[in-house]
Amino acid sequence: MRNTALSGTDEFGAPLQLVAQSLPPSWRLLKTPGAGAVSLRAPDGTTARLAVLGRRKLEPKDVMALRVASKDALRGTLVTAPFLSPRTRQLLTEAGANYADASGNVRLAVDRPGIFVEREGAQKDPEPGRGPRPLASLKGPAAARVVRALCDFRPPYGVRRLAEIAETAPASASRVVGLLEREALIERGPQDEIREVDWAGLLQRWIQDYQFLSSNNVTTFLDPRGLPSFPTKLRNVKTRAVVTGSLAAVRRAPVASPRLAAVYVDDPEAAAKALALRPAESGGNVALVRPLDPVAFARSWVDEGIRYAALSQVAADLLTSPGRGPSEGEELIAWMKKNTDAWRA
Amino acid sequence: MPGAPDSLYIKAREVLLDALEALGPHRSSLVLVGAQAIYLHTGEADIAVAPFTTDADVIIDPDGLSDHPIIGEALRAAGFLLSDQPGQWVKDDARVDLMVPEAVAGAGSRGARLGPHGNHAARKARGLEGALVDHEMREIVSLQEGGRRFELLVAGPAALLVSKLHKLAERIGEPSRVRDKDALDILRLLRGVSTEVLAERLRALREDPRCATVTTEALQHLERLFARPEAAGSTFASRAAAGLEPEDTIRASCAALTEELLRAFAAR
Repeated sequence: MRNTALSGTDEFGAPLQLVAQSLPPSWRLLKTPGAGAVSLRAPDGTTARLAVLGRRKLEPKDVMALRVASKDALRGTLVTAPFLSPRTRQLLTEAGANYADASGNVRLAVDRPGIFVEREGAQKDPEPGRGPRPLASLKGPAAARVVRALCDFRPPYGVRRLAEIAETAPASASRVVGLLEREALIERGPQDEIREVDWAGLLQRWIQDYQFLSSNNVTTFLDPRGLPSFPTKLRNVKTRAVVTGSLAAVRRAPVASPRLAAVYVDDPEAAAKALALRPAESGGNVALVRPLDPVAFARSWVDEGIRYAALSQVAADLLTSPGRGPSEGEELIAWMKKNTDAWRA
Repeated sequence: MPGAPDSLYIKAREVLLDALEALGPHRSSLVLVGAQAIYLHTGEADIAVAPFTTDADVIIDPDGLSDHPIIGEALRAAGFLLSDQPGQWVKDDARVDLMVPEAVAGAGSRGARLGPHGNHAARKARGLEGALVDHEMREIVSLQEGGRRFELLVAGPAALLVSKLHKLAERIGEPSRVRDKDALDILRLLRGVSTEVLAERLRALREDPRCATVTTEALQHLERLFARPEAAGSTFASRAAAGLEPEDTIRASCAALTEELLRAFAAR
């Protein structure tokens, strides 16, 4: 029996074409006779067979099902779909599966013959209308409240109880929970209660739609006396002020000395006056932030007379901040994973 | 300077205490100036640059200076050596610079005329006159446990600002790290001391005939070197703080605090 090299328009479709194009020179992707498999041939003639699992649509929760169906033997498979979201790809990678989508997202990790290829394509579905369910988003205040509550409070609880603690309408809570369930970030129990929350995954999913600088209303000011003396002023200020960003993270995680103070306040102009800050054309070192939603103030904690935002909020803010923010966010999340009891109720 | 001070800094403090001990009864005629005095006002952790100064700058007020002990003899007996410069006393690689403000230093070009103490014990320096007026009593304490402590007049923030501005203006053409550090010391003072206090004490300096001229000159230097983010002094300071605070923040801070001080100074 002969294998045929993939070329031109092919019944395997665009994803496999992309895999073939992603290979190093003199590697080949070949159709194997019979359906549902390809083989990968190295220059020295060794080959690996990969079962192709073609899907018209694959959501994160479907990866779980795939894992179960294949008895966790996804290592020898190549999953293809028109589009695979970042979360889907992450779960496929964790399951050891190879994948390719039509937008150019490709991952191929085979031990024998040894090859590793990873390419990034689209992060958002170029044709979102394709699937049966429209992809909801975690933009907006209601999502922020529900996400924060799911992070800050350990399940189990039902959607109604979640809505209460998130101080949001049960219908909004239910919509957000539906999205998160599809994305395999929460697990429901037999009574439909929320049983498990992947809070770290949830934060990563939230920041696809929530951005510290653009979701909130941020104004930058200069404290000409420098950051070391800024906390003293915060201690004495009468208005509500809750610190986020590096200045908060540094209380818990190993983070280099902060260069920007970020503070949630109700009225940035009034707070700037109370804190003796000046409008900054350049060189601003204090960001006063009117939050997307008052949830940014919720479940704050006090250390040495200064009020800090909840760590789930701080982490999301850092992950979407410029400069060293994202790596500081990762440091903080690492600390939060090791010290869940210290911050999760 | 978070954590323990480094060993050079501890040793420099010991050498200063050696000099104060040796000078005994003259201590009441001395005023500590320079970087060591600045850190006493601002603390050392305001901008986290380790103060690498290992010299102590001390001025002598010749008015009321007694004839005994002879300064040079006392210092030599305590192990100090005079370098090739008048007033520059060295011990264990650390330095104590004795200076007399020009306005009260008598004739001559370099060495201050100090009667029985001779012309080499201290040198004349311009810009330090304010320390004769703006000063306060502080305790100079050893950084070693159980070490010595002496009461000494320490120049006030306005006098220190005036003297640093003169020093910076003199060094403006020299490309040096020392000059950048002088500029950062000026920002330390502007940041660490309230604008009202600085303005009030500067006004007092301007009213004293011994230091009125240097004070007026210093404020001109301040405006020229620091009133804008892109001015020379702001640039030097931002360089000295490189890696610790963003350059633009240092520049903008210099300009903002200078503007604030000049406005408060002129307000009355």
